Amino acid sequence: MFLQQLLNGIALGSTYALVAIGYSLVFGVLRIINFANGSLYMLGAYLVFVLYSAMNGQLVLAILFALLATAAAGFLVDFVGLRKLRRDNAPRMSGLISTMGIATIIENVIQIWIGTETKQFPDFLNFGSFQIGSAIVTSTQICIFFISLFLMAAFSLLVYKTKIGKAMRAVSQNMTTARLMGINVKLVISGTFMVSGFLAAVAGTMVGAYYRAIDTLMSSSVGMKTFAAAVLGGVGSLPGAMVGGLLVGVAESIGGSYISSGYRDAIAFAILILVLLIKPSGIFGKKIVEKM
Amino acid sequence: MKKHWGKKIVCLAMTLALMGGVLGGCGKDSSQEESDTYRIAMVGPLTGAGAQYGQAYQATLEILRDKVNEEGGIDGKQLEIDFFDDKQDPKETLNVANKIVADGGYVGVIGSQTSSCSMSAAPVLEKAGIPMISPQASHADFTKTGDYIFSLQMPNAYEQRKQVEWMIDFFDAEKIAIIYSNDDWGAQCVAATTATAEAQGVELVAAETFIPGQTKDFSTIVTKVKEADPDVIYLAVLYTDGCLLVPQMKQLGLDCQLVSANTLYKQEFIDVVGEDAEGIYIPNPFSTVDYTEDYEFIQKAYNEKTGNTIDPYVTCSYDALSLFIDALTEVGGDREAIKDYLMGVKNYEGCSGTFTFDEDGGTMKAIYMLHIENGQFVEQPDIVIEPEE
Repeated sequence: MFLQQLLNGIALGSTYALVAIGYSLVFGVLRIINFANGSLYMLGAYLVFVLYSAMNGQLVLAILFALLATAAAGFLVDFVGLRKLRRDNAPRMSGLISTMGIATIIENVIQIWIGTETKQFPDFLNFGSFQIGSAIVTSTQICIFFISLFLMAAFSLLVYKTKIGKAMRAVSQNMTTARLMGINVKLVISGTFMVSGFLAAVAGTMVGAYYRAIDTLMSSSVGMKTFAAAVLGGVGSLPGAMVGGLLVGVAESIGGSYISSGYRDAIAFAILILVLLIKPSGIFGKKIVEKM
Repeated sequence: MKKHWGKKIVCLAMTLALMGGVLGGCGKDSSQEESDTYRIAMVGPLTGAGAQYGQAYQATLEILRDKVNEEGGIDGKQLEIDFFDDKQDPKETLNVANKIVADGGYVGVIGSQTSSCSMSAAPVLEKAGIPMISPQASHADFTKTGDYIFSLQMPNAYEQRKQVEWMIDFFDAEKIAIIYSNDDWGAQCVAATTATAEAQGVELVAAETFIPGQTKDFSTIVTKVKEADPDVIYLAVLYTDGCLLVPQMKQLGLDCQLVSANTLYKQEFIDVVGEDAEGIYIPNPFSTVDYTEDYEFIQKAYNEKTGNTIDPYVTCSYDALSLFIDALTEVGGDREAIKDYLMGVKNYEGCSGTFTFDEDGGTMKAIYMLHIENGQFVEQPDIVIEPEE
């Protein structure tokens, strides 16, 4: 049973990691937590569902359009909710509340537009399953693990090895100086939000395929845990988000199995608190000096 | 300076609007006898995560209201229903209850959907002497609030015991397990199941729980239940959670006989889960084969109005309004008389089953058995669990 629970935990953790990467990316650049990330994740999955039904089963196209549309929605989160606040030098808290507001709007629009019934989601990653000892592993679980690993690696390279990444890091350190150095700050920020929307939509689609169903509570259920995963790994660090996600997933699975299923979330958060007491900036986090 | 004036005007306007609301509310509080309508309030989740349930109530009540009004109303008086949204949040239900009491013109209240919501409104309505019928609240303490409070659900502990007794007997089970939602309802289900298993000398090998709506990954509890190797598993889960749980059971190779609360008796459940739903037994408090005229009417009318098939949310809310209509026809608009009428209801042949209110205002019903076969809920003709006297 231990092996099965460990594998369950890794699969679950990979789904957390997928969303946590989006959180970390935005935090890395803007130093704010984008609470709308969870609802973009839900929006992505619902768009795949709607487009898939509307286009008579053109799955690849449906996913492609949905990813692009969610990226655009990510751009809008910034354009509508944050750009003016930045221009007015509003306190960070305002931005945070603004993203919460946008999250609520997106969720409510989906609830009214599509309804609150659970919807069946195309099971496109299912190529069968195999056994390791007595434990069962499905192809979907493997896909989720490797896709989140790939995205983490790809975006780490983007942030740390490319010129765009350098611009992103410069903006994150000091927006005014970055602008003076000729960096198009608006473009960098918009780009970051588009990428985070894209990542959230990938996560929503993968998780939808994994559970073969989507519902309107998927964003709130993912919010707390993935946020915890990002904090655990060190917010702003992409490898941290991956490791944090896996840790939360495995802790939940093993704790739920050997202690009590009723306390599985409490166990995951207890570990989070423990890690933060020992290392306040998270496992991979760097100490951040706040400059306003 | 100009800006400030604008703000002041807005403030003033808002204050006036508020005052108007308060004064208007007072003005409305006239005696109900003079009006030519009977007003009933419905409270339930019309928006938010549970919107589908409240919307089912609303559609059902509208159908019956329109029917009654087209046929000339109740003793010449038209029936009027106001729909209040509580978003499945007990705090909101309480707000609505206070609003209903302040209005003073309602002869009865139908709602709310969950036990938690209904229980937050019940004390307020009881104190004001407004009869309340909840279509779905099954917590035993709900109807114990007082004389004015009724529920169309069997008390949970009773219903659960009958179901588990049947399950043990029918499958000749020696080891049973339960997976339940971590809320008021689930806690009652697991308590009754544990007690029944003990009384029957059967081993409860696993009792696993999760947070409804929040838990999406059931692999941990499924693996644990699989390890315990039960003969039959009881599911006390909402259909939204069932849609995730049941496929994950099959995926992890847990091929065990399932019996579920009638929360899974929803067409959407089969639509989403597909083949994995086959073979589940669902005890249900009304027969889908041997039905009344009212059942036939609402089945057709509901399908025409919404395109959906009916479910317990429809049948129970239909019966709640029917009871009020009967009471209004018999005793008129006096709320105390309506309460007395409801307390005397015996062997009422409703759409949600034949029932009698017990002394607390709960109901006892027979239990029928549905079985999922080829994507359909098929009633088993030879299984009926008779109610206890």
